[in-house]
Amino acid sequence: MARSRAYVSSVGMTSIADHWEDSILDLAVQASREALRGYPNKKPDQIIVGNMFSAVGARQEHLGAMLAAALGLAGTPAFKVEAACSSGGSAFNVGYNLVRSGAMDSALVVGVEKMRDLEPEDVSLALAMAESAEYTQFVGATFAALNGLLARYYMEQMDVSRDELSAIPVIDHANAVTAQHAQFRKEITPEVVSRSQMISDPLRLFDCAPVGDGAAAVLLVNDNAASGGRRKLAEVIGGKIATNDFTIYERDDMLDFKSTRLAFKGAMEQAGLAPAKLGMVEVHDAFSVVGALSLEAMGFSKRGHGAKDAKAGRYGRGSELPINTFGGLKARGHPVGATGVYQIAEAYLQLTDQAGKNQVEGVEYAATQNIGGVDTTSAVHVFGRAA
Amino acid sequence: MYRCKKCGSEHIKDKEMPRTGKIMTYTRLHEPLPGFEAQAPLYLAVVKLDNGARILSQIVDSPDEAVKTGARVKATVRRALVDGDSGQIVYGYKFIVET
Repeated sequence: MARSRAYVSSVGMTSIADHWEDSILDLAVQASREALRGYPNKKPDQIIVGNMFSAVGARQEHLGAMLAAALGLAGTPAFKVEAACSSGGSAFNVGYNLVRSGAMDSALVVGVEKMRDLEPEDVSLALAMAESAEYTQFVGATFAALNGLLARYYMEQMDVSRDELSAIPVIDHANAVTAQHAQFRKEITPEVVSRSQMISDPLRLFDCAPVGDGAAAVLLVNDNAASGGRRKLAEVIGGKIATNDFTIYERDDMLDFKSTRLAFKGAMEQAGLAPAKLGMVEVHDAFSVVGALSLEAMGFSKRGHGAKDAKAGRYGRGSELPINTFGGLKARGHPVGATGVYQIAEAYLQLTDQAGKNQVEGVEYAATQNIGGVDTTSAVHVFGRAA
Repeated sequence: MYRCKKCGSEHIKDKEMPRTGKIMTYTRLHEPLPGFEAQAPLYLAVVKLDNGARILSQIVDSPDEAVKTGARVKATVRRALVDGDSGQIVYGYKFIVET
């Protein structure tokens, strides 16, 4: 099949919040309508929904067909992609491959999650499904507990301090102040993090991404569908998914985020881009330690130095490689299945100079990294300005 | 595991694991999964067994000061969870710090 270039031509996002008044469909439709504005015939060839636990969070499955029909697009091929918290990035990867291969000329990719209709213990149960029922859920371990184990291991093995670990949440909150769609828009200090409630020692409340509702949508097009109209395009120049040993303790090295390492390498090779050319990265900081280890796996920091470099100012606004430009998972928010698409929508806004007060001036290339489980799946995409 | 990740062989055999090992890392979880509330706060650890294999498990019946990285632990059988409305008790493995 002939290969074509693939582009993101428009995006839509709801704010991330407690959307008590909106159903999962309402949120998905809201984001989709925004993304379809300005698209000549408003009929994508394919609809793909990224979502982790609609069955539990909204008592709803079959999201692809449901969204298609709600958009007046019954007849359009549609389905859901699920890969825990990397559902969004994984859904996008499927759309990207369909569109760049020419199998489809356009695809609407929508990430959506309703979490806030559940009691906290049921959110815990839902998130725990990312991990082994037999070996992890069986011992009462929550998803936060697995990351707590990883955080202690990281701090002890690599001599990382409490304040160093807090640096990424601090960067996130600073960036979210001017981000319209972000869930938490207040700056924090390292003291706020270290005084917050203990969740799973050593991880505290402010080390952990919040729970919220939201939907983000992007429209993918190839050369056949890209022409015409006044839409701004960002080109998708690379995209890869990789997986890891399913349980963290099976891994030869718990501190090696192998999925991210492989997905990043593959995506960058596909893009033909040297990492030094990246002007920003949207990093999956579901927990502070995950953000730090992701930066190391992508090679931006040496082993053991992700958090230390963040503390030293390497990744903040105005630095050489700003991360999480609208607040990342901690401050922009993390409606789990939607997050990967939020990251991509944000990268699009940056590369088309539509990021407002959050604009990274003159950014040429952006990467997004979206994890499921504890780096159990990783979906990495690379974007550039359209020629 | 149904196929070896290194050589691809499907000739997988069950092997009995040693009952002792040491704590590689641990955490103290304040809000465990539903069903485990009575055990909160709960120590969980990645235990490296004496043959190098790793397992995730609770650390029980051990003083707080004894639960630390490097501590030697031994396996024991304990009530793991209560399953469903019929209240069937499921037993499983947990670890105690050796003193």
